[in-house]
Amino acid sequence: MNKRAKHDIRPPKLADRFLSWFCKDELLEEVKGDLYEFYRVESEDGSKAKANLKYWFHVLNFLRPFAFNRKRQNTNSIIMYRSYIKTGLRNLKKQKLASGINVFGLAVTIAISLVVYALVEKQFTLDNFHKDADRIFAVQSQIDWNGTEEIWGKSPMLIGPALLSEVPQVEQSTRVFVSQATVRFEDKVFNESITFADPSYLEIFSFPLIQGNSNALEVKTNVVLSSEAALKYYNDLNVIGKELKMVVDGKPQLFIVAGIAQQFPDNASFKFDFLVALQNVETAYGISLNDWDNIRNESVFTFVKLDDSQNAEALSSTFEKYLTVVNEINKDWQIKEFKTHELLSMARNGQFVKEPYASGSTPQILVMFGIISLLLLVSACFNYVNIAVSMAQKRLSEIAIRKVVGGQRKQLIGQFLTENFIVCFLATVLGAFIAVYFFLPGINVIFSGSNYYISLTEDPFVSLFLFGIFLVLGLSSGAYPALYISKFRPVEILKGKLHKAKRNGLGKFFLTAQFFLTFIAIVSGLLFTSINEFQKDQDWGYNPKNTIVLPVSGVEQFTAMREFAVQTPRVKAWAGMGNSIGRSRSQQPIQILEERHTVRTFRVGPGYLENLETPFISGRGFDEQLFTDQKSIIVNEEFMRKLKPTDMSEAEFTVKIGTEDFNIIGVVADFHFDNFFSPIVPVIFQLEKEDYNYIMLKTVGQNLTATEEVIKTEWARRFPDTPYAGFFQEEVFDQFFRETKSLKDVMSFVAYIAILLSSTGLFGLASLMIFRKIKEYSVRKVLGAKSKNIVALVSKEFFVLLGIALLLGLPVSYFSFDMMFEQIFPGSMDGLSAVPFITAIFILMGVILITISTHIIQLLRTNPVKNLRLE
Amino acid sequence: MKGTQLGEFEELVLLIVGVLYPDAYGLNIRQEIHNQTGRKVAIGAVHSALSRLGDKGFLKSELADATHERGGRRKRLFQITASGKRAMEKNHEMRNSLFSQIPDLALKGLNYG
Repeated sequence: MNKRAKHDIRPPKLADRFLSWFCKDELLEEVKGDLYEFYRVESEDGSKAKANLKYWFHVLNFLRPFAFNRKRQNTNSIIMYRSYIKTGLRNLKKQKLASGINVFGLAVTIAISLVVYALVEKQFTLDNFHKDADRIFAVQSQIDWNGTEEIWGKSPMLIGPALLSEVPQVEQSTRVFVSQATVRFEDKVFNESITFADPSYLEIFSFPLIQGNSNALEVKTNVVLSSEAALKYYNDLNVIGKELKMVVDGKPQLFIVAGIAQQFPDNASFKFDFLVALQNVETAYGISLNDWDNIRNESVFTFVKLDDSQNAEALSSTFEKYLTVVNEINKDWQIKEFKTHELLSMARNGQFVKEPYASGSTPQILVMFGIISLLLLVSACFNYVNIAVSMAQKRLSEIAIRKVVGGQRKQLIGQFLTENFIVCFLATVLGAFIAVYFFLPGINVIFSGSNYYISLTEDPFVSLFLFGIFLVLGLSSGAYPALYISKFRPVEILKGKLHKAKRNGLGKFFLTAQFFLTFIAIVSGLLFTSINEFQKDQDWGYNPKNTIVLPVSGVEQFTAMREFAVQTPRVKAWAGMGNSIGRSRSQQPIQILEERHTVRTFRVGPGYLENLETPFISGRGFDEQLFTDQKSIIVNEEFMRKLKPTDMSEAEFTVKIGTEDFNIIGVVADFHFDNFFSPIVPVIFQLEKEDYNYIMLKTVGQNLTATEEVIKTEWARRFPDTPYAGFFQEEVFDQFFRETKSLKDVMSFVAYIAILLSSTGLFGLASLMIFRKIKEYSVRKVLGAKSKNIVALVSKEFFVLLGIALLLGLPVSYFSFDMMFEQIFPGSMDGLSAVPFITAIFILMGVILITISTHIIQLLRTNPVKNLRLE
Repeated sequence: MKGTQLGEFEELVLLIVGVLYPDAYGLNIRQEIHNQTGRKVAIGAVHSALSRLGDKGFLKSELADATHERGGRRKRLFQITASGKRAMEKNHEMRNSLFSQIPDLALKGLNYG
């Protein structure tokens, strides 16, 4: 710009260029002159930097409407973009079907990725609303079971207070104990989960109270309610001072409402409904708050708040000391190490912890969702590229004319990119709409009880994420069509040479890739469906039918229900038990020779196993009359397989529980007690004769629900203070079924979307490929080719592509799904069946045929002369 | 056609153009404004006002010769047109007439206030 280099008075070049760019030509000369003169004076008077700054200031000050270069912008910039947009919109309107397919396909995939974002985002923001959340840590125990290490969420009762008094970095600590109780106010009686905690619970965790004080827990008889609980029992939030009756472990106690918590945030991984002082644990369960006993059900969740988030390490030195104390007292439960875990990721890692305080979603499933949404996005991009390129074929003349009259390649690229961004913009808006109004509510239904939501206004990351998707999608899907189309040589197009010369290799590649992805999606949908079916037909290992299980507390309730069972003809048999199969998860340490193990234990009354019709492999069930059965156990097959020393005969095989030896009097066949995908582990049954927690009633007749009604009425008559909590044995896996059904629903949905996407992509490409070869087909027709030959000829190309896709897709999908299912449902199926894979192939073939059939029919119907006469 | 009303700053610029006759151009108008009134305005503001005055027909301009100080660029010299003169006069008259109509009391009152 400024050639007078000798005097060192050149104003900032960039500012100059900027001015030249935006300023009117006719104004430029004088303005530049003025500025230059001004700069000269300024730089002579003072420092150059200051002059530069002033120069910039004045240049920027020229950004006024009067100075704008209207005329030049008219020819190039704004009007050019306006024309891009106008032409783009016209094109979209002209090709309604193709644009509709594009926008819809992209929108659906954007919506899916938005939903996945919401799912993932929630996992990463769990519990972050607690004040100083980064300084709150949970104390967990690591336990070594003969080489396999387990992390337990709980720690000994005294560790929290000890840390508080001995480690200066610990500012606060709280202990939490969670249990069940029956809560009653007037005629409202329900079984509820009760949180027992130290008073500091309400200070460490940010659960603000709308009523009452945060020191409420200092009084033993106080209870703090959640808003929901308050509304449930009192239908009112203004209930401070009201009484609430709780029956904890059979002991009734009166509590006074001393606080109401504000509605909990959605991303709280743990909340409470009824919060009472920890001392109540002592009263209700007889668990001492003042010793180092660490029998599992007597330990608590411990949280500490440190003065600095970096100081978690400081605790570990003190941990050593407690380890010795704890392990000295609890020989059966040797803790290897205490660990701190930060609160912010506690729930997210809850899956890896035994008995976690809170737990998020399974990480594998989140990763899976992430991959799926990415693949769908890629698939939609492929689609778009294919359709865009094929549609461009119909605009060849336009492109050629544009070039001939002087359009530069840059401008053509601009035109196509603009069109592309219009499509992506529409898709992003539509996608956000679909996500918020359809997918998220759907997700919340599928994963019942979850509350996922997206807020464009509250969460700046959502808008950023959307904008990112928009940009990436726009550029990645638009670059190829724009560059490819703009490369066409106008002369060739106008001469009509082009569609002979060009072959759309990349388009075919995209289509193959899409077939590949769709195949995987269909297979996954089918696999999850088949797994779901598989579970329903699975043999449980016992007969759950016609069985009602009723939790009872105390001898009185048990005896009453037993009497009822004996009297009513509807009940065929009954049994009492301490633990119920499918519900209870209790474990206990045992010793075989010198080796320690932890095994699942069910304490059952006589007749329980017989009533469930679990087949005995050998031996017999418990006999109430035999005194020795108190010292006997029944085990499952897996127990014998895994734990019986090989050199020991069955007769001399004894198991030490606590300090006493137990004989094995019977072996039952393996059965499922958690769900079908938890591996069957060694189990022992011990005889329970008095301390029953459940009674099982084997009923007669088909109508189980009617029988339950009778039992319910009887229960309500006898125990109005206790809610009826009976359940059908058949229902114990329902929660699990729901989970796998959710997965199945999601995967099937993904498969449908994938099919939709690939068929639309195929539709676009097919029209392009037929269009290219239309003369060949016409000539063939004229020469007498039959319809079926033409059909074979056209579809052959696509089936070749499908073949290639399958060649890759079959092994890849087989091995990856085999691995994934082993992860999600360990030990469930011995390999995958071939049926889903074959079905998927047929589905894909069907989709291809249906999609291209419209084109083929059109081809067959048109008179070949019409196509040939063009030249 | 744009309105022929004179804005405050426009009027100032128009007057200064007259004062500087025949040598009025962007930068020295700005300088003169500073000298006469102490107001420091951006170069862009001056040009903007000049362009508006040009549009309203109050100023005419022509390009002068290139000079060295301006990096070899020509300056645009401004002159008041007849209608510019009329607009100025109108403003002046109107102001005088309005001022003379103010009763003495009001002004005195103002002084006490």
